[in-house]
Parts: sequence; structure tokens; C-alpha cells
Amino acid sequence: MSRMPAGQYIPGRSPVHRLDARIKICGFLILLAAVIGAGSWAGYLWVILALAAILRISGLPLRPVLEPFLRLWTFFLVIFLMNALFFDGQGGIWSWWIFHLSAEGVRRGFSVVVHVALALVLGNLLTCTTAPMELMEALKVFLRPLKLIRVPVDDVAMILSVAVQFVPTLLEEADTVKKAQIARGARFESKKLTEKAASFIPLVVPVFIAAFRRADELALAMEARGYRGKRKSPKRKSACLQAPDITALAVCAAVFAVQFLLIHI
Amino acid sequence: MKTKKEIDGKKISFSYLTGPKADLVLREIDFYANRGELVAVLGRNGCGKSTLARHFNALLPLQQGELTVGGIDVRNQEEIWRLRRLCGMVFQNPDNQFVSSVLEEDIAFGLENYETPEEQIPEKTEAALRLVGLDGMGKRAPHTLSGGQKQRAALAGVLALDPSVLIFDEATAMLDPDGRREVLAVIRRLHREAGKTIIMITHYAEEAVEADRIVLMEKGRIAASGTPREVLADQKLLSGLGLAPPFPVKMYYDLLSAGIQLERCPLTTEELVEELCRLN
Repeated sequence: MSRMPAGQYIPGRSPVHRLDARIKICGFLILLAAVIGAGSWAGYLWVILALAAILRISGLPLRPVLEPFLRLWTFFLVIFLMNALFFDGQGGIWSWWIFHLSAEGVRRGFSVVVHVALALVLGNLLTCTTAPMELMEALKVFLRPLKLIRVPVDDVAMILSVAVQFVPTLLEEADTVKKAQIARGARFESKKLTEKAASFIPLVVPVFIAAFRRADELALAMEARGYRGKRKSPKRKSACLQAPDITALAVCAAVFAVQFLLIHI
Repeated sequence: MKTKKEIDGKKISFSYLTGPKADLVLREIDFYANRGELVAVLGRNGCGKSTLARHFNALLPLQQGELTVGGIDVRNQEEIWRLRRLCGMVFQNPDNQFVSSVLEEDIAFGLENYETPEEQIPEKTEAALRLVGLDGMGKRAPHTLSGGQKQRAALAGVLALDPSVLIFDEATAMLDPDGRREVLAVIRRLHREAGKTIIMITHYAEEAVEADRIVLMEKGRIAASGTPREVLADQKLLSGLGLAPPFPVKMYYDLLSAGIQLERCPLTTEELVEELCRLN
């Protein structure tokens, strides 16, 4: 058995789990706007409080929701340092060669990191509380107008669903290949970025080949179970939105409205 | 009554390539399976077992010969979806058969493809999970299951469509002994209790012991066919095809070469114990 990867759907019966997936996607977009709009301490605090409240109501464990942030800490550090050391703004604190540490740069670096991290957490809240098929159905609803310009919406939704399902399998595959190559003397722990990148090429090739082989087998299995492209899946939820859905959307809009006021006051 | 032919194939030939130099993977094969029969197809890798099986639900086009499954001609394109519903298939690698990261959604996939009324889907999904002994696990993600559980979940996805023919294409090849036992137990139950026609493709002779009939394949041809006792007790035939006989059969011949004659060639460990006890 493998450990559940971050962002994977975690079944539950919380009020957030029970919301209509269409509402969750709309709420996600509204809250994403609130996250992007945050520009002051009060603004950050406000969206963090909102996300913490959703996390609490959803009953999700902290780890899978926050893990991407912890895993990507080097990425966040690089973003922060790039902004802090290269931003040519007011309030210079320290300067050496090409590096200029400024108060404005530090503020910008912090702001970018917080925005990206909160957006990641928000995305995880959506995927951890919504079954992939429900997300697919909701996406289909939003993409439906594209049918007018002959975009194969059903197929796109199916592709997304299968891609989500294959993530843990391919992670496992990559881990197996990596271990096999380490056993044969490969080194992935080099500190030099160029060496590190080069060492990953022999890892990527077999994982890609395996992915294509798996895709081929999955296509056969899908065909054997009657998949024929023009799939008419039933809607999993009632077409009518329920009171909790409307309330949830109103709460998201209220969070955004408060953020809007904080920006403009 | 196991008399009506559920699968009836005559002179089936197939090649993956075209042109005069294309090698035939199947060479004029005559194959049948009676309704409710468990037929094990044994053979080495590359002998054409899976290629033959993929003709039964029209995953491969029939190039030469005749083949009907459940009375449906596999060449009839208008009946192809009915044929695939009638003839379910479980593949070797369970990981490559899931389309969703939630079991019940994956099982519902086939039902949705056949436009099953929405209100019937949860009931059929739960029934399929119950059949394979995974009741109450519908909310689980496939990657959190053991190998045997994954393969049984993949089987549930096929059983939800209630096929009358089930093809297991080396469905136990990637499983550990426990996983193999779990899947074989489900296959036995489906054969005995649900009366399904089962085609079990395998290269393990031990798995074929409980079949009604064994078909041995070699280089795209049927090398031998008969009851397990007729086929598996013939060590010369099996070793000639590069197949290892079941342990009790090997033991029988080892004892024979040591001058100890058992009354009959045992196929299972229980039969071997019985025969050894008789020696006293």
C-alpha cells in the first residue's frame, strides 16, 4: 500500500464534501480572487482565517492539505530570495555586487510566497473534498458552451479524470525506477543544479515509456467495459442547487467582499 | 446442462502485421467453451493466449475464421457493445484498469457507458463489491488497496455489468501468493455459484487444476486439450511445451523414478496426501 499523495480526494461526509461540485468550483474561483487580492496584513489574515474555517468544517487532516507547501519549501525560498535580493526598490537595507536587499523587495517576496502558498492550499481543499468524477461532471457543465465550437468536452473531462487517477500510479512507478537506478549506482542527491537535472533524464525516459504502456492497457480495459467516446454519464447530483450550496456561495462572496473593502479602505 | 456452446470459434487465424511475410500469431484455431464451463488456456509467453482471448470481446478484429460468443458474431459491428457487455475481461495489471481514484466511481464507469438508470447504479455497484468480498470499500482509492484487493476491485468493475462470460487474462500473474489465492477463490465462486462461463488465461499449471477443461497452446496452435487429469498428468507433454507441472504431479513422477508407484497421478496436495497415505 502506498501513502496517499497530496491533493488526493479524501472521502468524508462533512458539509464541504456534500456541496455541489459546481458550487465548489465557483467558490474556489471567488476565494482565489480574494487570495490574489490580499495585499495587507489584515488581508492575509482574513483569507487565512477563511481557509482555516473551511479546513475545520471539512474535517480534513492537516497533512494532505498543507503538504505541497512543505514539499515545495525550496521553491518558495528561491522565489522569496529572488524578490528580496533583486528588487530594485525603496528602503535599501544592504547591498553587495548585484544583490540589493530592500524592505520593499522583502515585502514583495513575502507577498508572492503567501499568495502562491494560499492558492495551493485552496486548490487542495477543493480536490481533497470533491470526488474526481464529480469534478469532471462539474467541469463538463462549465465547458459545455465550448461544444458550440466543436470542442470534445466529454473527452476532455474524461482525460482529466484519468490523468488524476494515474498520478499516484506514476509517482509509485517513478519511485521504483529511481530506487532501481540508485541500486545500480545512480546519484540523485548532487547539490549542483545541472548535475541534478542531468541525473533525472534516465529517470524520466523509463517513466514515460511505462506511462505510454499503461495508457495502452487502460485504453483496452476501457474499451472492454464499453467506453465508446460518446459517453452519456448520468448527473450525479440533482440539477437544482440546494440551500447549503447557495449559502456556501454567499459566504465565499462575503469573504471576497470583505477582502475588497480591505483593499480599498 | 453444460452443452450449449457459449464461445464457438473455428479456424481462427490472426497476424498483427500485414503482408506476405507477416507471422501468424494464431493459426487456424478451433476453440469452444460450453455455457457455465471453466476453461483454462495454458501456454508459454507469446504463444497467442491473450491474442485469442482478445477476439472473444472483439478487442482484436477477426481476420480469418468464424467466431460467435453468446450467439453474437464478433464481426457484427452493430452488436459489438452488446458483445462486450456479455463478455467481460479482467487484465493482468490491476493498476492499468482503473479510470477513477474512487472505487465506486470506477465500478460505475461501465454502468454509465451502458446508460444504466442513475438510481440503479449505487445498488449495482454495492452488489458487485459484495460479490468480490470488498463490501463497504466503495469510497477507497484503488492505490490504497493490496494487489489482490485491486484485482478483485477491477473484477467488480466488470461484474457490475453482469456478463455471462468472464475472461481472466493472466489476472493473477502480478500478484503475490495471498493475492493469487484471493482472486482464484473469487473465480471459483463465480464459476460454481454464479454459473459464469470462465476463460482463464494463465501460465501456471496449478491454477488450471480446478478447470473443467484445459487447452494447451503453443506457437499459435492448440497443442492439446482435455480434462485437467488428462492434460496435467502428462509430464512429457507439459515439459515439451516449457510448462512446469503442478507440484503433486512432479512428486508423482519423482516417486515413480524412485520405484514407488502411486495408484493414480494426484493433481492437488490433498490428493497427493491421500495417495501417500494409501501406500501404508
